[in-house]
Amino acid sequence: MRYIVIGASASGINGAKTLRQLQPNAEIIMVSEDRYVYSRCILHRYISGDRDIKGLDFTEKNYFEKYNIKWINGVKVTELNDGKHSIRLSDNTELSYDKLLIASGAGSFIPPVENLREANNVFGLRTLEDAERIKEAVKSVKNVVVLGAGLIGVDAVAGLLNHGLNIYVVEMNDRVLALQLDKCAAEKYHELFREKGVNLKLKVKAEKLVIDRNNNPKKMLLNTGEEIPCELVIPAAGVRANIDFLKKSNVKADRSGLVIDEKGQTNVDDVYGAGDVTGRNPIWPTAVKEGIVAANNMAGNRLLMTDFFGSKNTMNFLGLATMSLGLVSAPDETYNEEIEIKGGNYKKIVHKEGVIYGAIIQGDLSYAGILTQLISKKIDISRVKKPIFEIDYSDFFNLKENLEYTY
Amino acid sequence: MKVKQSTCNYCSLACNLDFYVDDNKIKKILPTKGYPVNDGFCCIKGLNLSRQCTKFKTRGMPLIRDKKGKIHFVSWKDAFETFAIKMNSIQKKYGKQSAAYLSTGQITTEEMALLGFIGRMYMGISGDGNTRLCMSTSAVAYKQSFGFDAPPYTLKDLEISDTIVLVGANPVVAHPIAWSRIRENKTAKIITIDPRKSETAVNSDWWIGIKPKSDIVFLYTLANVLINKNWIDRDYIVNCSENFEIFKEHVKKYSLEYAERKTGISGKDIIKLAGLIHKGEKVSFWWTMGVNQGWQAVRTAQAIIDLAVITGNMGREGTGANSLSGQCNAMGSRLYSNTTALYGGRDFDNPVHRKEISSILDVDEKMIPEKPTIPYNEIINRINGGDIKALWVIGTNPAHSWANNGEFKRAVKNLELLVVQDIYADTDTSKLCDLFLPSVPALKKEGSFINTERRISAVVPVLKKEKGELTDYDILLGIGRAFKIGKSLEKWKTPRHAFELIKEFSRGMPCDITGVDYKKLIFSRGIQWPFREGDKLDDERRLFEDNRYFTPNGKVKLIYEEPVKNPAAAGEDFPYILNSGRGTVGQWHTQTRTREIEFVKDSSMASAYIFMNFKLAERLGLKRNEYAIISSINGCKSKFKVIPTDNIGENQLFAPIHYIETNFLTPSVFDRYSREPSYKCTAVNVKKIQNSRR
Amino acid sequence: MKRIKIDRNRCIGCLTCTTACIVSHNCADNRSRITMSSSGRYAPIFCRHCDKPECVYTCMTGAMSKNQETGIVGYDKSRCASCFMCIMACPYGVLKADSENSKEIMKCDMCQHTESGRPQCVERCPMSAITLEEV
Repeated sequence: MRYIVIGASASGINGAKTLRQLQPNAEIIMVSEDRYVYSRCILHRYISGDRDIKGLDFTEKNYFEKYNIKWINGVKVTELNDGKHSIRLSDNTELSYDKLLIASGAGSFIPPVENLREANNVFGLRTLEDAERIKEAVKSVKNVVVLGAGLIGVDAVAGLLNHGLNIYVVEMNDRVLALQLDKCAAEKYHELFREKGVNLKLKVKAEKLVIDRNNNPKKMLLNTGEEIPCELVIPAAGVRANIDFLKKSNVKADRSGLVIDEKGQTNVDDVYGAGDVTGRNPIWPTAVKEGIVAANNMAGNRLLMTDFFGSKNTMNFLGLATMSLGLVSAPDETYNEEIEIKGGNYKKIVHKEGVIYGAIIQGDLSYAGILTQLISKKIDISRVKKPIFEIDYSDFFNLKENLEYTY
Repeated sequence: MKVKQSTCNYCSLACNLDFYVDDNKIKKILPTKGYPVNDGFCCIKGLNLSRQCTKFKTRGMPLIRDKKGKIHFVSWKDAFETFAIKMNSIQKKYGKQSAAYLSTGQITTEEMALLGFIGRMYMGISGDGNTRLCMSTSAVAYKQSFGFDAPPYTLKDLEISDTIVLVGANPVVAHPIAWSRIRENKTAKIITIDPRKSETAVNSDWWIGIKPKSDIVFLYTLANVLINKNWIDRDYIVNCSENFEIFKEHVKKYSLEYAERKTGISGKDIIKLAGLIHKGEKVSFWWTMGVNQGWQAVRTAQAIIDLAVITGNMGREGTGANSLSGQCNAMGSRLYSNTTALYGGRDFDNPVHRKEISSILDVDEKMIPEKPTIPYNEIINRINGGDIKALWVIGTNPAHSWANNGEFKRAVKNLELLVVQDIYADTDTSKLCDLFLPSVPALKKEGSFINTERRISAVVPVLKKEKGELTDYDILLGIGRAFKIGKSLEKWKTPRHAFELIKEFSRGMPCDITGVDYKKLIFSRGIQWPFREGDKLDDERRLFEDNRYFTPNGKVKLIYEEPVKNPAAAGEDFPYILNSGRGTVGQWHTQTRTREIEFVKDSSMASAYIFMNFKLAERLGLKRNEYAIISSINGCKSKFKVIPTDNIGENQLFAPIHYIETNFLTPSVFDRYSREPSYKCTAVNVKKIQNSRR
Repeated sequence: MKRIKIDRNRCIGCLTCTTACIVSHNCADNRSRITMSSSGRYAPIFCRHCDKPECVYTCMTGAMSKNQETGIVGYDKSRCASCFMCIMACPYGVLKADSENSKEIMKCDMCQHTESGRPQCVERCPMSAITLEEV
C-alpha cells in the first residue's frame, strides 16, 4: 500500500503521522513544494529575526525518520491523473498512489491593483521563500506598504517593526482585523501601531502602484487620491487554494477550494483532502484535525470530522493579546452585548436567550477557553448564576469514566 | 532580584517565606525550605501576602471624618497633633481612664511593646487586644497551672507523638501546616473530639462527636476512668503535681452513665479512649478555639492539662497539653504588650518586677500601671456606660469580630473619639472612625513575631515604604512625640532598640531571650524561648523536660471546677445551637486582607452561609441555597444561605466567622477567668424565608 | 496512563493543591485551580491530559505535544510563540499565561520534574479529593 501526502504543513504532517501510526508497514511518501517544514503562522518571527528556520519547525525531532516517511521536497505537483492513480511532479517524474491526501494549502492572492502583478518587490507572506525575500528586500528599502490588515497583514507589520522602516497599512475597513475585532478592540491596536510609527490608512483602497521603468515600486496611489511612498508591497488581502493541478482531473472543487465530506473524502475514490486547500475554516486546528480524520479514513478506520467551528482566533502582538470567537457584535436587537472594561482588559460577550454566540477577550486571556466550547457547541448557560464574565467550567463539571472532563 | 526571608503574619504557625523582590515589587513568594515550622511548604494565605493593599488601597494619608461624615485628608503632623490634643482633652475632662485601646495579635512584638508603653504607661489607660477573643483562656490556664503562660511543646511533637488527641481544634482548616506535619506522622492514632464532624474529624482515626460544650464533663469522666483503672503515672503525680487527691475526689462523681447522658458518648467509648491514652507512650493533647471560646473555658483547658499531667504525658517528646495559638504574634502580645501582664510576663503588683521594669525603661515606677488592663468586654461596657469616651483601635475589626458585634457599633455612638489605625480604610470598623491612621502591611516592617511554639522569628522589610507611608511603629513614635513624652521615648527610637528592651524585659523570666542576637535572626531558623546568654541552640525544644514548672514550688497545679451551665442556654424559644469557626483555609478572620486573593475569591461564598443538618433542613422545608433567618438569644437576627450537611448534629448549626452576620448573633457571654467570649454555643431559632430562592 | 481522578464532593476548597503546584514549580503561577459553581459546589479544574488534546491540535509550533507512552501532554516553552491559541482551545478553560510577562503557558506537567515524579497536588491534598488512577 502506498500513501502519498501532498503538502508538508499542518494537515500534511499530521495526516502522514496518523497514517504511519495506523499503518506500520505501508509506504508513505510526502511531496511538498516547501523545502523545509515550518509554521506559516510565525513567519513574521523569521522576518523580525526572532527565529531561524529551525525555530519555525513545528514537528517533533527526527519526524521523518521516526515515522518512516519518504519526503520529496522542493517539488510541485503539476497534474493529478485520478484515473491512473498517479501524480506528475514539476521535475517531470510521475508517482503512482493507492491513496492520496491533498493538503497543498493555499497561496497568496495578488489583488487586481494596477501594476501590482508586474512589479518587483511584491511578496505575499505565505511561504518561507516569501519571508526570505521580504527579509532581504527590507535591507535596501525604506517604505513598505502592506495591503490588508487581516491576520496576515498585521503579522507582516509586527515582523517588520524593528527594521527602521516607514510602514503603511492599507485597509478597506474602518479598522484592522475587521473580521475578528470590533471597533473598541481594534482601536487599542491602532493606538499601539501609531505609537510605533506605523501609518494606518483605513477605509481606503489601493488603486494603482506607480512603478519606474525597471518595474520597481515608487508610489502607491490610493482611491482617496493620496499617494504614499512605496518600495516594497506585501499583499495580505487573501489566499487562493492551491488546486491548479486538479484542473484536468475529475476531482471536484468550487469557488472556495477542494470539496471534501466529513470523512475527508473528495468525490473521487482514494483521493482525500484536508486543510486550507478546502478554503473553508482556514485555521490551524481545523487543518490538523482534517488531516487526522482523512488519514484515519484512508487507513480504513472510520472517523468523522465534527468540529466545524472556524471563527476562533487569537492574536498577540505589540504586547496586547486578543481572543475573538464567533459573532463579535450583536447582529440585531435580539442579541445582547455585555461589556466589561477593567484596567487594560476589554471583554465582550454576545448572547441571546441563554446561549453565547460570540466573544472578544482582550488583555488577560486567562481561562477564556471555556467560551470557545460554550459558543461552538451552543451550550445553554441559563443555569449559570454567576456574572457572565466569570463563567467557568464549574457549572458544567462532569467526569467521564476515563476521568476526562465532559459536558 | 533579591531574596528576603520573612515571616508570614496570618496564623500562629508564623511560617517563614522567601520573597523574591525586584524593583521594589514582589515577583514571587515561596515557602522557606528548612525552616523548622514549615520546611518548604505553606498555605495559600502566606503564598499571597503580596496581594495586600493592591486592589484596596488607602490614600496613604491620615483622614478625619467630621460630624457630617465628610472626609478630610490631613498631614501626619496634623494627625498626630489631633490625636494628642483630643486624647489629652478627653482625659482632662473625664479622667485618665476615659480612654482605652483595642489592639491586635498581628503586629510586631516591638509595636506591641511600644504601644504598651505609650498607652498603658504614658497615657495610663486600659488596652486590651483581639487576643482576648482567642488566646486569653490558654494564657490564664497556663499561668494558673504552670505558674507562667508557657505553651510547652514544639511542633515536632506532632510528628513524634503516638497518640494525638485534638480537642475543639480543626487544623486541616485552621493550621494547615500543623496538619501537614501530623500527616508526616504515619503511625500516630489521631483522635478528634468535636461536636462537628470537621475536616479534621473526617481524616482522624476516631471522631468523638460530643454534644456541644459537654467537653468539661467528658474530660473529667475520662480522668475518673484513668484514675480508677490506675492508668496514671503515680511518680509523676507525686513529684511534679499538686492537688491530686482533691482532684481525684472531684472527678469521682463523673460516672459513665452521667457522662453518656451529658455528652452523648457511650461509657464503652470513654473507656476505649482511656485505654488508648494509657497504651500510648507519647500522648499529646492539642486544643484551640473549641475549648478557648467558652463560658467555662479556662477550667476546660485545665481539664486537658490535668489529663496530661496525671498520665505523665508532659515534658517528654511527643507529649504535652498543647494550646495552638490563633494569630502570628499572639504570643508576643501575651508577653510584651504590657496589658494583661507586665512586660516579660511579669506581675503588675510585684514590687521586684516593677523595679526591674522602671529601671530598664528609665522611668518613674509610678508610671507602671498598678494592675492588668480591664478586659475587652469591660471596655465596651464602659463605653456604653459613659465612662470611656475615646477608643483607639489598632489592626483589628471589632465591628465584625466582636461577639454580639451590634453592641460594638452601638458603643461607638457613645464615643467622642474613635481612632482607627489599620492598613484598610474600608473595614467595618474603619468606616466608623473619626480619625484614620493608615498603616502598612508587615511586608514593610522590621521587627519580630513569636509563634505558637515560642519561636521568635524576624520580620524584615521586604518592600520599601512609599513616600509618606508609615509603619505602626512609626505611627506610635509619631504619637509619642506629639504627646511630648520626652527622653524616655528615645529608648524606643527604632524597632531594633525596642527589641533590645524586650530582651531586657525577658531577663530572668521563663521567657528569657537575652541570648538572641537580632542580626542572627535574619535568614535563620528562628529561636524558641527561653534562650539565655550562653545557651546552646537546639532547633526544636520543649519545656518541662526537667520536670520543674514555674510555680513557686515547681509543681504543676491540678485545677478543676464544677461545670457551670451555659448562661445563654437553648430553650423553648431558641431550641437550636449555633456553632461558629473558620470556614476555609483561604479566608482569614474578617477577610479584610484575604478578599484580595483571587484564588480565595474564586473558591469561597460571596456572602454568609450556614451549615444545617439535613433532617433539620427538611423539617423546616429548606433546600440547599435557600435562605433562612437565624434569630439569636441575644435578640438579633441574621440572614444566611443554607447548606444542608450531615456533619453536624440534628439540632446544631455551624456558621463561618468570616461573615459579619455570624457574630451579629453570638452572645455577650464570657469565661469567668479569661473574659474570653463564648462563640461556639449560641442558642438560636431558624425560620425559612418564603420565596427565598434568589 | 495515569490520570488525576477528582472527587469534588471531598474537596473543601483549602487550595492546598494550588499551593503545592506553585511550590513544586518554584514559580509565581498556578497550573490548576479551584472554582465554585453557581450552587456553591467546589470544582477542581485541572488539566486532563486529554486523549484528544485540543491544545495539541491547535499548537502551531509543536510546543504542546502528547507523549504516547506516558499520556502526558507536555509543554515546551522554548518552542512556544505565545500565540495563545491553546488557551482558547482548551474546552474547560484550564489554561492561562504567566502573570509576569504573559508569555509562558501555565501547563500541568504532572510534576515529572520532582523527585517522586508524582503530582504534588495529589501528594498534598488533605482530603484525598484528588488521587492518581490508572486509566
